[in-house]
Amino acid sequence: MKILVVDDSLLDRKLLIRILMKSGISQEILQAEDGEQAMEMLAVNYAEIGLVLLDWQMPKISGIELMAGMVKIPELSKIPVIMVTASGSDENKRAAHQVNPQLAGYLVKPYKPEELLAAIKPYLR
Amino acid sequence: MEENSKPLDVGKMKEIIRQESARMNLRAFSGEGESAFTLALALSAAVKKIFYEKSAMTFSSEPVLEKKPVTQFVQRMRVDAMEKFNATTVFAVIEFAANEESLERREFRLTIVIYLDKKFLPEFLRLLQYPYIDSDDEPEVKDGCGTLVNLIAGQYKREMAVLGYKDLTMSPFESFINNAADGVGIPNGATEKYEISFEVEGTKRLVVEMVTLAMLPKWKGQERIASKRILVIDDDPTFIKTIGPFLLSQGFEVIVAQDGKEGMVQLKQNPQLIILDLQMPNMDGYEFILAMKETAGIKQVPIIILTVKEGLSDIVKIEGIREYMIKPFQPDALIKSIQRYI
Repeated sequence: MKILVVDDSLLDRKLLIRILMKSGISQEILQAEDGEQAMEMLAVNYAEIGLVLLDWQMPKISGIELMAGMVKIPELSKIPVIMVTASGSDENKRAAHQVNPQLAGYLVKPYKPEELLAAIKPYLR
Repeated sequence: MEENSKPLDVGKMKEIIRQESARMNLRAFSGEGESAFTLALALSAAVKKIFYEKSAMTFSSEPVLEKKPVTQFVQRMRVDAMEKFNATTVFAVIEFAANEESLERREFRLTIVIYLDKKFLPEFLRLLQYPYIDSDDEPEVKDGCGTLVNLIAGQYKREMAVLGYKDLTMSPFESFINNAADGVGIPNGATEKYEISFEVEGTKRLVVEMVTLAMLPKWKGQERIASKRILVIDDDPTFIKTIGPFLLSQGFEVIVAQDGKEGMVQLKQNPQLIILDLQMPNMDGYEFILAMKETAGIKQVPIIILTVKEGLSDIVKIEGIREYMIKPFQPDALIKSIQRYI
């Protein structure tokens, strides 16, 4: 299993990955810096990617747009997605759940490492 | 793990994502459920493209939801930490508005406001005219397509087609943006408002309202300063075109002179302040100051020197000169200075 981390902020990606590494997870981590790059990675690696950690606000294709597309693509619709975003309004949360009723989690930045780990734990294989 | 998983068709995926995001916009648009959430619209996406792909700027999108009685949302984009444009000088506001009635009539209003400092205007217009290739693997440039201007119009058209507006005529829109990019009909630095109606299948109408190339958002609580007259003496027509509408927009009366000689004549109109260039033909700035001082019966008017020449800060020691500023002028700094003397 691979974990795909999608965030346009290098710092945020590094932070997230450091938390994952420190917690001793063994899964390979892929990174994309926008929705478009993520889409290209998903197109090739969809069979191995078992979890997507997805930022909302990104250039080219935003997180919510990518997720809306994933839901409609049979090969990608089963991949659990956790939104990791700075926009924590109830409205946005509802919108995310509306776009993807199977949404695996919604983490608001800044998050605590243990929140992140608790959110991803059920999906690790 | 499946061993024989074939890569997915990226083009198809893109298309699905595009359609889904259009649908999401429609849902937000029509207020289905409570989900008037903020999403990048076709146009904001195009504007984003301008900022992202053509100018090596970093960009932070800061959506602001302003829920009006029925359905209205505003996408504000601000460009931060840019290389060419300094922070906070460019941002775009894209606003879709519709209410239940207008939705029934399929009537929407779209407002695009691009705020930018006038000194970046040429750069921005160049960006709009940059050739743009829509698809990575298909560098086709159709008639009249291929610039970002057309991309904005085209992308909007496609998006509207997904929403059911198949035969939207965008030509007024296209020609408007083209004109904007050519600088036609846009007073440099002034706020212009355009309203274009589209007749679609007789009953459907879409109004595009564009306020474009505004210099700065309106000052809050700005009051009109009644009959405060400013004399601008400068031989650069571009500068006059810039500062004239700007001062007018701020509530001042403006008198223009192309050199010191003309300036002397215009003094008869009793300006309360003079904005003066230094290097000019016939009578330059220094000569003008001298002439004003030496001519009997003329009221001495405070002077702000506005010039391209740097390093003249000592000039304020000359009697009559109150301030020394360097071009291009900073609108808010200039206004502050003017208000000190008027």
